[in-house]
Amino acid sequence: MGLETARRALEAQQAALQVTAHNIANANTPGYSRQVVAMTPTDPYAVPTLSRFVGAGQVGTGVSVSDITRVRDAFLDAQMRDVQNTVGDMEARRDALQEVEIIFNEPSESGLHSVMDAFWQSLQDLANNPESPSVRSAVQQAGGNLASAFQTTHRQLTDLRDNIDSVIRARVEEINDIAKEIAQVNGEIANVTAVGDKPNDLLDRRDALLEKLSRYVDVTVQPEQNGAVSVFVNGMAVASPYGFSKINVVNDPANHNYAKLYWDTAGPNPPEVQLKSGELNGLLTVRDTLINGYLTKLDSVATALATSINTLQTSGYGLPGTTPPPPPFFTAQGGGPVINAANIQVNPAMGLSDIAAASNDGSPTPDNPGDGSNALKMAAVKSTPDPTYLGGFSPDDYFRALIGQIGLETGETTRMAEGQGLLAKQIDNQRDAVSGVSLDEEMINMVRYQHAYQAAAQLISVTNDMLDTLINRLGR
Amino acid sequence: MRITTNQMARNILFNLNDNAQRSDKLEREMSSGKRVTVPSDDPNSAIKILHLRTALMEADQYRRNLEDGQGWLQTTEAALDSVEQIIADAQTLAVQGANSSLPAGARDALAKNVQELYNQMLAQANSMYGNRYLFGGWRTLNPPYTEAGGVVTYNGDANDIKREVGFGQTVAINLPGGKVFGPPPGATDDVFATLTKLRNAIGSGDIAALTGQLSSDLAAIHDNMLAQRAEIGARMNRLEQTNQRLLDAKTNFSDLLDKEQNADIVEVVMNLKILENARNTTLAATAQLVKTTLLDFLR
Repeated sequence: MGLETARRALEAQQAALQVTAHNIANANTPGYSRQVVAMTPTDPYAVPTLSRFVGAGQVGTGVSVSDITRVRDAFLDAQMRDVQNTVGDMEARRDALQEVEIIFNEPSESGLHSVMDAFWQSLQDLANNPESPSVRSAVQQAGGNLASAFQTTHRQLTDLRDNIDSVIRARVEEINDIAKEIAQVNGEIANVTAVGDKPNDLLDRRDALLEKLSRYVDVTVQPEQNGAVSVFVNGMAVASPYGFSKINVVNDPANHNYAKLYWDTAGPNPPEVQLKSGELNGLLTVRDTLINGYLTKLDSVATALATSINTLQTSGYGLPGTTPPPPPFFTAQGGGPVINAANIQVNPAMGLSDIAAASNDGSPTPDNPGDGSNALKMAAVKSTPDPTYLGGFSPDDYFRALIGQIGLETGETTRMAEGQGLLAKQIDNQRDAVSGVSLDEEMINMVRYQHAYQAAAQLISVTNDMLDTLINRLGR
Repeated sequence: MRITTNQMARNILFNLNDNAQRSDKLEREMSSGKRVTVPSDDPNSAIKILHLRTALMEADQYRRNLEDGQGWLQTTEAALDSVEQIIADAQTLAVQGANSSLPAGARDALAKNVQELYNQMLAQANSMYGNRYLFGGWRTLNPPYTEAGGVVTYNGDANDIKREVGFGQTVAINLPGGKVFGPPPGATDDVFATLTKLRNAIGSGDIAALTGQLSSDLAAIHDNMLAQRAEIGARMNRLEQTNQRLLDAKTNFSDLLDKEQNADIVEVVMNLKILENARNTTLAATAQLVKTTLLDFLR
């Protein structure tokens, strides 16, 4: 019996050393939770008699490894998924907004505001010398620069929007891959648990996948039978013990043929994917709301400016020799009734002499080349409140407010992303405190188990000697 | 609470990265000299910077407008000087011609002088500033006064050319021909008609006219001239004062813009030094922490 106890000891310590070795090997594996051996004493032996024992109480029979447990706090995991979700959302918005800031390029001296200022200045210069062709040429040039700047900014914003759409499509593919993997691991875990073993490394793998998924979409995890889980995204089951659901991408013609996301369910009307937060939600918000908001405001400035200038231009007079009424200053490139930031251009049919620096003084043909009053009015459009397109703000004020808004939103989103990032780090540290491998600790364990192993081996040797004495030395 | 090596590594990396981020921002400030490069650096500041830049540009523009106006006014003033001289000369000739004992030859000579004055007056009336006519109102490209068959016609209009020298503030920088060469208040003849009448009166020896109507007409014209000169003088004064105000405003706006926009280099360098110290300390501590494990001490 002593031998059997020693044998069990050897086995148990060896198993413990095995687990320690596994921990040490995976000390730097991300997402790994340390495993501990649970050793329990085996059932004690009671000497059977009819009435009483012969010897002292129950005799222990050794040790066995009852369990290899993974040390993991599910609550911390759930917290981490929440935080990663918010981090994903905030970081997606922050990255996009930082690009928007760079596109607008303010308050530099080459931004749209400076180009607008140069245009107003050229009109003032025109008022000083309306007869001069070179001054008129400067006005035409300044107007052309302004139209160019509007168009470029507009195009860069729509390009950014297109890029975000590509990223969204890539993310959806990743999400589908992760969901598929989770379903697969789910199945494997269920199989192993049904047999009674603990699939520790598989559980680690699934937790890592869930965390990765939670960055993209908001997930709820529900435990099921046999260690499997169901994963819901805002009420829709993405992965369950029975399989997984995909997200389908459909081009939406009502939205520049951008991706629209539907769940892959049977039937004619698959439900649209609804998200509350997460990186995918952040990207969709940027693409469909944020950037469009800025585009609308940019368009408003361009339309207000072009309309006001055109109204003054067509009601004024050019130089003597031109036929009234003068042609409009700005037109829409490619035709169309509305001039906005995407299509604004200086009217190619407007000649230098057509620029209406002078007011209409009632004479049948223009004969007041020295009059610059209309040019002054055009220059004053900068600070004239516009009730139609700018809600009563002047173009100058409106644009400055737009830049301020960009600054505020970007600053706020950056701070929130930073804050959540810090929170994620804290939770990571807490997780490490629970599940992390401490090499020092493993070393000490290793020494412990080694000693126990050595002692058990010594026990066999001693028992062997005793038996030897008993069997070979007695009674000769 | 358990602390694992991974936790320590994570904390150290996070702090080093945070330090590097802040250093990076400060270095950007130092190399560009600007405190605000994107609106999110300081949104309120960004708006103020745009505002101040516009204000500076406006002040510059108003000064440009103003200086152009000053040029016009100065040229007008010089022309008015000459015109005043011509009128004074005409008045002298009128007095001379009112002498009944002048011989016909002398009369003819005087009349010729008046004709000379008439021509000079016409030349002055068509004075130019660069390539534009001063006295035509808004019709600056064609001579405002043309003569045909002894009759002078005014081809300009009666409008003021305005220059904007402040927000909503304009100054007229010209005198339409009518104000200078037209009939003075209360009279019906313009300057040229009066000079023609003077020439005729001297030539024919019309003493009564010379001492009566023509004398008072010429006096009225002279007074009007002085009044117009005073008007020009007043406008020039106003422009000079405005110019001074604009210069002061420019200086103020410049200062404000610098304060808002420029990085305080001393502060930036100091902060960078502090961050560098922190970084070095963290690195030194890291070196100590990650060196030893239990293995080093186990036999």
